[in-house]
Amino acid sequence: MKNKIQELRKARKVTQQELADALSVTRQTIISLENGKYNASLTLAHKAAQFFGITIEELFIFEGEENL
Amino acid sequence: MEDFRNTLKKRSALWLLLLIVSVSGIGLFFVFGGMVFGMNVELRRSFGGMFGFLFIMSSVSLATIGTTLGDEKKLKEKYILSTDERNLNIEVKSSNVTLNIVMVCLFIGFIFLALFFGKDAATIPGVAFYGIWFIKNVVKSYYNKKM
Repeated sequence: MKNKIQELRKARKVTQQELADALSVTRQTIISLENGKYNASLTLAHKAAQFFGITIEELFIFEGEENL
Repeated sequence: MEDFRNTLKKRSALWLLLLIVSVSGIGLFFVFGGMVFGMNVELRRSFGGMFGFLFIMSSVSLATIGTTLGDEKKLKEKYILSTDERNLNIEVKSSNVTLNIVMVCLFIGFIFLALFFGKDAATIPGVAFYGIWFIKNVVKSYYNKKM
């Protein structure tokens, strides 16, 4: 699953640590999300979407059949 | 965050209890073991080692929890580390893989010992393997009903 976290974070000049603090996760989780190595839970996806003021569908791009 | 603070307080109470147990154990078995129970030096040292280990563990844990509770920044860091979903996922996956590896090793040991050293030698790994397999399935069915 792809996401626009890095793109939106950079556009808003937010550091990974600031985003991690806002979402109550570690910076490593943000790095893994941005690299596409980790898929966020529904709760974290919701929090991230709320942080950027967009919907989950706009932030995360589901590409059909994926190994979840 | 308040829940986490309360959890840490409960944990520190538990470690304090273990600290008291360890000090009592050292006193009773290591220092006065000979006089009270007539233990020999070897046995006293063994008990001393066990309770000494418990003493170090509980002291370090109490000190760590105390430092964390006294510093809001550290408390938040620990809270995030313990609730971070990626960390929790890693913990679950690594525990599951470790358990599977242990079970495979036990099964191989069980077969090897049964083939070359007879069934008596294979009893311990056999019981351990089937015991773990049984417990794993009981726990699995518990969570199956719970979720």
